[in-house]
Amino acid sequence: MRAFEKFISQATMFFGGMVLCLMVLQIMIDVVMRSFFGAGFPATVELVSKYYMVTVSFLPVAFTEVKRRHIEATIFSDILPQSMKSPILFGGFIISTVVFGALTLGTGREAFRQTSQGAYVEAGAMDFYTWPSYWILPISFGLMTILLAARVISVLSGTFHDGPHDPLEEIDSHANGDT
Amino acid sequence: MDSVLVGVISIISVLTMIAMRVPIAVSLLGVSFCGIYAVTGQIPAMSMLSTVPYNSAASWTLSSVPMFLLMGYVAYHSGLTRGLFNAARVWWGWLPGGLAIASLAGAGGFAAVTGSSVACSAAIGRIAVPEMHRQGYDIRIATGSVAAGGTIGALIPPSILLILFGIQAEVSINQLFVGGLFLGLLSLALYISAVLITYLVYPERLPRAQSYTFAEKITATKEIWPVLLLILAVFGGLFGGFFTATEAGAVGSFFAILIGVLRRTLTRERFVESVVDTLLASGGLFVIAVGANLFTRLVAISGLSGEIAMWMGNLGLDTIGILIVITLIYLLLGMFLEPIGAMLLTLPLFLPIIVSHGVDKIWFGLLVAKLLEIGMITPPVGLNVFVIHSVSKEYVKLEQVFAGILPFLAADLILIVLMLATRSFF
Repeated sequence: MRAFEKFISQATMFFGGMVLCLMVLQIMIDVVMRSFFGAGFPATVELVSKYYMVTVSFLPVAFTEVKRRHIEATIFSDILPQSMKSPILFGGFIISTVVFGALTLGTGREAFRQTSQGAYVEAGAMDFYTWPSYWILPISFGLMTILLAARVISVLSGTFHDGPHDPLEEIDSHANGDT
Repeated sequence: MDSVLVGVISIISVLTMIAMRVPIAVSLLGVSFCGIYAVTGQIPAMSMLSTVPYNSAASWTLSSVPMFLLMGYVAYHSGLTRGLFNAARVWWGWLPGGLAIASLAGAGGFAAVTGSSVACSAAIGRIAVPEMHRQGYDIRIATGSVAAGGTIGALIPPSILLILFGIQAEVSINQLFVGGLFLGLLSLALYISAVLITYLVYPERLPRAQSYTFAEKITATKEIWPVLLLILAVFGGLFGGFFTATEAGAVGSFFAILIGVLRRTLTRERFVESVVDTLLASGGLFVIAVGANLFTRLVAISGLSGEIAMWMGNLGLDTIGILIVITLIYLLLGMFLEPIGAMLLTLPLFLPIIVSHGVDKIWFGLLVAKLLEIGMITPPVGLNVFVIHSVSKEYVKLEQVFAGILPFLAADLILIVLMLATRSFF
């Protein structure tokens, strides 16, 4: 479990971080080129919205779960007796696994469809292929589904521990790959 | 099953699941899929589940969110704004309640580089609360001013909350930002008034700090020129029509990184922390946006929004009556839910109603942002209050921080009444 969480953390930090930096650089270059040479960097809008944005939006979904940072309301469950907390956590993970499983299937189906059609958009004079970007979703949601399924098993085996949320700690998170 | 009944059951299910600690994104996604399935059948429901996530995220306008998040986190982790409170203290510390005023002004400055209320409170709180404590300030007003000042972070652009509202409501982000700037500055002015009134009633709680020479003031101001330049470049470009919001965010991130590197305050580790925080925030946020997009479709397909509008009409509520009901709902929701989740959850229901009553969407977006930010300082879940308590645990109790926000809460309520009374003004 820990090895899988570490893999998710490091892979997200590497690919997500790289995409984020590329996004900043490419938009900067586009702005500079447009200001000084009259024409921007080719296909910036398409690359940013179809590839970078989709990666930054969905690749970190599993990493966010590793760090237990998905937005949820803990106020009501916190006042429940300890004996009730575990079943609630268990139920939440089961529902989440089913929902992300369905998302993996749905977006996977869409990725197959777009790939078979060789989906592209026209960016100026060139054809810009978008079909590979559709695969980012089933990969991201698939990782999340596996992680959630592992969480279900952890809760059942009594090895899952969820500490209290500290908002200050959340914005001061340390960036190592461990959890 | 009757489609409106499906809509009603869906809302109850979403709220129950959220209360049972199911993540907001999962609640919205799961319930919306089931609701659409019940109303339209399997094929349209599967089709939406397959296409909506990609189409929601693959957006140029939405890509301004990670860019502004990165800019804010880089500014936070590299201490880019550390000099803001100091400069404000040197200029205004001698005023009655000057350090509290300086904290608020520092928060206003930091708000211009971050869209996060919590980061804004933490950044200023770390420096300002110990200073006010040392100067003998009443700890309630010291902590309360910083917690309240942090809420300006989500009003003054860049505001993640306003960008998401703009996308959901299909209105201009620039117009929202201009309105947010105005509303943020107005909030700041009212908070400063709250400090001054507190001083008039209890002068012993806010002792005057020392005054500084003109040369010292200039030295302190020189410290913050890179931040001022950054703010000017980003918002000059944005409001001057040179950049889109995404470009402004990218240019802002680039220059924040450059300034941090040149000043040697942005180490490799801090840069990685900024990137990680941006990724974590994005991972939590966009999946809710997808859920909200599906939920909007469910509300439309089920005919629920029309039914609610009719129901409100039958109650004899006019536009102001409806706005007051919505205001109360947001104040209540803000007490329990984090602002972005609460906003994305409710807009599918409220937007069609307010549009049918001819309420300006830009004005409504600003009202929603203000109302939800009040939730950041009200019990039981006031995240800004928790953060300020965390940075000053040694000398303040949580309930003292909550007591300290009372004058600022009163200022906020006055502003809300003013907004409701003068709707067209904003």
